Amino acid sequence: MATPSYARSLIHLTKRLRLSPPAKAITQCQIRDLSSTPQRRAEAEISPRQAEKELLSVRLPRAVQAAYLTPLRREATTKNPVCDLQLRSYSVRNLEAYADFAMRAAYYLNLPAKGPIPLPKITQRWTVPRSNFVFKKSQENFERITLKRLIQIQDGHPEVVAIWLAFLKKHPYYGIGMKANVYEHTDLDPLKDLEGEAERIKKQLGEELDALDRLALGKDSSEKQIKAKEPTVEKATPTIEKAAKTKQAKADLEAETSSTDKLAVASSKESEAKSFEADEKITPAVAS
Amino acid sequence: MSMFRAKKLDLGCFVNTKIMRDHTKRKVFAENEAERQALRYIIHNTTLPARARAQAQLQLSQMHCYTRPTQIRNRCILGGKGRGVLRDFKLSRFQFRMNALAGNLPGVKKASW
Repeated sequence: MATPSYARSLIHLTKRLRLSPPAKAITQCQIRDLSSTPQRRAEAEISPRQAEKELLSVRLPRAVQAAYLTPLRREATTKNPVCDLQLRSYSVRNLEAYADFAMRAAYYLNLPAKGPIPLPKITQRWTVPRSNFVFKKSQENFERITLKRLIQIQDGHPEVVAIWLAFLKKHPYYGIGMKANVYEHTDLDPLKDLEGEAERIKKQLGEELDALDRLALGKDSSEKQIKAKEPTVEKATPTIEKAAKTKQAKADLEAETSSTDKLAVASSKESEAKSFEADEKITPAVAS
Repeated sequence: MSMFRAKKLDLGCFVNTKIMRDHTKRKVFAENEAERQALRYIIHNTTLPARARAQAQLQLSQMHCYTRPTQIRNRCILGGKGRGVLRDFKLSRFQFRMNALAGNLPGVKKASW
C-alpha cells in the first residue's frame, strides 16, 4: 500500500475483503509554512515524496487502525441467544461491508456478537422466451441470488440490543435488507418471581400502598358521607395527600430506572452488569 | 360491471380496460370477503340446521360474480398482459426480459450454469 491512509477510498476500510485491487491515488502534498520570509519557506519546503514517506511512518490512532483490521468482539459469558439479525442482499460487497459495520457497532455497545455466519443462498431462476411472441425454441435464463448473513447477539441486555438495532436502522446501507428475531429469557417459574416482586413492592411502599387501597375502596362510600355529613371531608383529605405521595415515589422510581439505563450504555462491562441487576429489580415495580 | 367501477380513475400504472376491470374486481372482492367467508362457514358447519345452511348456500350463489376470488387474475403492470406474468415482478415474460437486461430489476442477472 503505497497510498497514504487519507487517500484510500472508504470501501477499503474493510481491508480484509480484498474484493478489488487498491486504486492508485495521486498524492500531492502542500505543506504550508506560517513563516513569511521566503528564505525560511524554501528551507521548510519538503518534497512530496518525502512528505509521503513521513506521513506513512506516522501511526494512526488506535480507533482508526482498528477500522483496517477484523472487527473486535466481546466474549459471551452465557451462550443464550438474545437477538438474531439476518442481513440479506444481492451483492456480496455491500453485505460484507455492512455485516462488518454491524459487528463493530455491537463491539462498541458491549454486546457479544457471534460473527457474520453465511447462511445458504437463495437462488431463483427464470427462463423466458427471447422473443415477445412465439419462437419458444430460443430462450434466455435469468437468476437472482440472495445472500444471507446471520449475526447473533448471545448475551446482552434487551435494551442495549434495542439500541443496537435502532442504530443499524438509523444507518442503513443501500441494497441491504435486515430482519431481527429478538428473544426474551425468563425464569421457569414466573409466578414465584411475581410474588417476590409483590412482596418487595409492599415493603418499599409500605403504608402508602395501604392508603391507596383504602382510598380506592372508600371512594364510593366517602362520596355518600360527604353528602350526609360535612366533617367527614376533613378525614378524606389526608388520604388523598398520601396517595399523591405514593405517586411521587413512583415517579422517582421511574426517573431512577431511566438514569440507570443511560449508565448501562455508557459504562464498561462490569458496571453494566451491576446496573442491569438494578434494572431488573426496579422495572417490574414500575410496571406493576 | 360499471356499478362497481370507481367514478374517477384510481390507478397509477399502465391503464387498460382489462386492468381497470381486474382492479375493480379486486376491490369488490376485498369488500365482500368477510361476508363470503361467513356464508361459507355456515354452509360447511354440519352442526347448524339444514335450513339455515341451504339459505346460506343460496345467498352465496346469488352474490355478484365480482365478489369471487377466482375472478381475480394477475396482469402485467407494464403491458396489461394476462398470460405469462411472473408473480415476483408482476411483469409479463417479455417485459421482464427487457427490464432485466436493462438492469431495472435489482439482483436479476443473466444466468449460466
